[in-house]
Amino acid sequence: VTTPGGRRRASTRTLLAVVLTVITATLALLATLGVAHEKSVYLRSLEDKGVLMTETLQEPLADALYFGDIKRLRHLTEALQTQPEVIAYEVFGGDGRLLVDSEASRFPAGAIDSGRLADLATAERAIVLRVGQQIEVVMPVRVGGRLLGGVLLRLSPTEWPAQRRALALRYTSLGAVALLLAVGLALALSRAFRATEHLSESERRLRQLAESMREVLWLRDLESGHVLYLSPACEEVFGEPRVDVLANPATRLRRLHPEDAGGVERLINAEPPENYEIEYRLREADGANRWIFERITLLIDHDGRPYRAVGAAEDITQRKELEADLLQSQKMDSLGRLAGGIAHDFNNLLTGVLGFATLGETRRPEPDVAEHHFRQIRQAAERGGKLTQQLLSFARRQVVHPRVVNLNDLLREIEELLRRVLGEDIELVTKAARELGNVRVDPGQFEQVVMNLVVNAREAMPDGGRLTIETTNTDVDLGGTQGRTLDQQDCVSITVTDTGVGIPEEVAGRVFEPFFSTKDQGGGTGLGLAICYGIVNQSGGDIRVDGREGIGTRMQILLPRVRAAAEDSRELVLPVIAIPRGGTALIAEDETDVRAVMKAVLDEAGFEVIAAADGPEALRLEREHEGPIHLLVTDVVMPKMRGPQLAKRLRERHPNLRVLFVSGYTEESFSARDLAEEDIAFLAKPFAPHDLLRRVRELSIVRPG
Amino acid sequence: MRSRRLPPSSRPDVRLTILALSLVAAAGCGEAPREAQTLRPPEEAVARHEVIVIGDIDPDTPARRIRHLQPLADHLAERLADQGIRRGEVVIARSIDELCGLIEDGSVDLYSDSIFPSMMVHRRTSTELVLKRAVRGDFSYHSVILVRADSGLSTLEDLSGHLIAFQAGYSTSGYLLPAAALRGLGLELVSVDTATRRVSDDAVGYFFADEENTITLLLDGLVDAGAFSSRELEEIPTTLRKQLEVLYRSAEVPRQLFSASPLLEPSRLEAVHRILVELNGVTLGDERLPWEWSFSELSDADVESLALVAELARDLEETP
Repeated sequence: VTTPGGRRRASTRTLLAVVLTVITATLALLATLGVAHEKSVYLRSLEDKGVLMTETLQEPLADALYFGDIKRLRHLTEALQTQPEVIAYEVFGGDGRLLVDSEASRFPAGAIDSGRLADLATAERAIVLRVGQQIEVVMPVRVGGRLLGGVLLRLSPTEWPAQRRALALRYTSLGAVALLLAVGLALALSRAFRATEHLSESERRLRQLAESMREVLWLRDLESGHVLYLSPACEEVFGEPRVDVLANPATRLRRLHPEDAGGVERLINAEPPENYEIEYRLREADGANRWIFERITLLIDHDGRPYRAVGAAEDITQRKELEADLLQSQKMDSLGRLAGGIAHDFNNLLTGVLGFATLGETRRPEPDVAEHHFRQIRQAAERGGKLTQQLLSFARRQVVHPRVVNLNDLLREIEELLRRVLGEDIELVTKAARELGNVRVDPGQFEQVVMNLVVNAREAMPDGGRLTIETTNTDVDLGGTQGRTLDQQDCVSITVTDTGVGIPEEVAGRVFEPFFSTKDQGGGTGLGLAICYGIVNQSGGDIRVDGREGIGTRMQILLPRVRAAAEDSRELVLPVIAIPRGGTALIAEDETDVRAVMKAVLDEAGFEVIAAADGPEALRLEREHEGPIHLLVTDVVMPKMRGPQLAKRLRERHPNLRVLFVSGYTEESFSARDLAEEDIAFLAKPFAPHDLLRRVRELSIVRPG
Repeated sequence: MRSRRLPPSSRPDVRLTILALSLVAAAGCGEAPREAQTLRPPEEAVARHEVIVIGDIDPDTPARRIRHLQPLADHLAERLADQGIRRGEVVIARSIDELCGLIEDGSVDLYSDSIFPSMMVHRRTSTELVLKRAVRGDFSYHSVILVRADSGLSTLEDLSGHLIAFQAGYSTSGYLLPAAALRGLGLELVSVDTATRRVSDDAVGYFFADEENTITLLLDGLVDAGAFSSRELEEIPTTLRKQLEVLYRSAEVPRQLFSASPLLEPSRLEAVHRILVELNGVTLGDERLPWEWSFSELSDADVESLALVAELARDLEETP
């Protein structure tokens, strides 16, 4: 297949061949014409010489011919014999008769015939004839109208060979010089053509590369601000016509999300101080956001100053969505693993609850024994609540609430959970340091970090093994930290060590990269350790990895130690709460058991309790009730009417109404903007009776009277 | 028509003529005379009586002489067409003898020459002296002998034992008149081949040179005297002329004579006379060789001078 480049090269070669041929032909023609011209000039000069020789002789010959003085004629023609060009001559009379000639070389008989005599009788000057390379000159000698005779001369170009050699040398030299020039010209043309072709081909490749990419590539002159190049992907990525952006670069940011406007416009429109990367959003016509990732690189001139900027912009919306989906998927993956282990615990818990409850109902035990039974039931329920709380922390998008905690406490709380995740073929060993320092973390996030590490360790030990979790107070060598956030030597570390397959040396540096996974396709998201790294860094800490292939992996989390005391003790203390008596409480809860527990607790606290299964029923009962409603305890998510809506309706009739939202879901799942902050409280399920009473008391209920 | 024939007493003797011709031949030619060839274009063939022929003597440059005279011959032929003349020709002889032969056999009708050869031919063939002809505007001239002003020579006799340079042997002014004058004084003329040769005190050595050489030889002291025509004397540059002195001046003689063959028909002679007189300054010939032709009748003085020349010629011929 002939490519356009090949055709161009062939055309170039053809052109060069034509040029060389034309030049060579021209040279040959010039040389031929030159030789012919020189030859002609030389022969003409020979003719002139012959004519001059005869004309010089004309007058003396006339005198000698007049008297037929042969001796004088011979004397006159002696000079002719000394001329190298003269090869023959004869002097003839008026009747053509030979009178004197060159004896060494003679003309054939009858050289002067009657016809030539007739010509000579009227000829004004000498008659010149060319006979091959020789010249014949016939000069008539006339006096008083009478032809006395004449002289016939034959000349030969004796100098011709030498002159021809000189000519040949001259034109050969000229031809050689011209040929060298032609070759030089051809080479120069060829190089120029090749250079042009290479340049065009290079430019074409770069253009094809730039224009086939999904990313927008642009080149901008920093001094003038003009866009020198903009690839066609502009319309797809920026959503703006290319011609408009070329005319006015600011056009590309017309759809910029207002929250991203400041930084992006400053960096893209003004002269950038350095190379940078940026992510920003563009808003589609339908209101959806499109994420753009843009990388700007400065081109530096000889003086070290940036003079151009090269940019590459990419639509990363899909990637962003994928990241979010994968994050959630990873959480759900963990949740799924948890569910398997927790179901076993719940069954055990429920067995205990059912057992003690049944004993209490059927055997009517003594008060001490009944108290023991009820305690066992409560403790089982509390363990169940903790398990569900942990499940929710993975499933919900929780707000980060860093608190000062002790990692030993947190570990203790999730230890059982971790055992469930690891399974029975992996031994879990925990080594809690004495007097372990406190750290400031979000307990939920930290639990996820540990969970991710444990899950990874389990994956590294498919045939079973041992997992050790150890906490220590550590002085950190800051020079060896992996990240840049850790700036404190006094740290608390938690180390997760497994006896699994280890990490190959070549991938040890990449384990925290997003989407990097050594597992088979479908086996992992590649986000687990990345999330760990992000959370730990967010907490000002660092993670160190020490993996040796075939021996195992050691992951050490370093967190800055804080001197403050732990904020949240999870010690279970039976509360003794002073409950203000009096007032009316309206309960809206679609779950019967929860509604019954809340009614019982509030009844005992002295409230007049009205219980409803949903919002409309609550409104109906409120209308039927005579007197004020002081407290509304409502589930957030209910069929028919949501809790916040119900609260809003009731507030219209009861301005001093206090509201306690109870929900099994996230705190962000409702909005109570119409209520003053001090008028509302939130209580997450599951909760203990004293948790309910504490929240009610915090609401500072305004009681009647 | 006025034509002059010298009186019988002045007709030169034939022997003198032969001597003079011999001298001329010895001085000017050096080769045996041979019959002149008349080469005619092959396509032209006319009868003799239809041709008018002018003769002259020039052994060296006959072509030039022909080109000079041919326009006059053509003019005459044209004017004589009514007398049956169809062409004019010029015949150049190498010597007086040859010319005399051509006149005598009827090959030449007219003859134009300076006076000395004209008188020679006249004496031998009885040509008719028809007219005198001007040369460069002069109908007559004379001869002079020049010596250096400081030479101490004051008379012709003083030239005894000295050298004189003459011009061509047939030149009237350059040789014949001055030589005749010297001989008339009884001085012997001895030909010498070099200017260094000494001659006896009672003789005058001579040799021939052209005009310019004669002046140079004279001024350089290689010769003691030189013969010139009066025209040549006028043309000598003033600076040179001051160094020279005229030792002898001859009588005035006609410059050229135009003679007619005794065989020419009278009617044609009369017509020729008329035609020539009518020319009177007319230029004939092409631009390469124009010539102003003027003819005049011979005056009595001319006749007398011609008689003198005839005597000189006879004396010269009779000198051994």
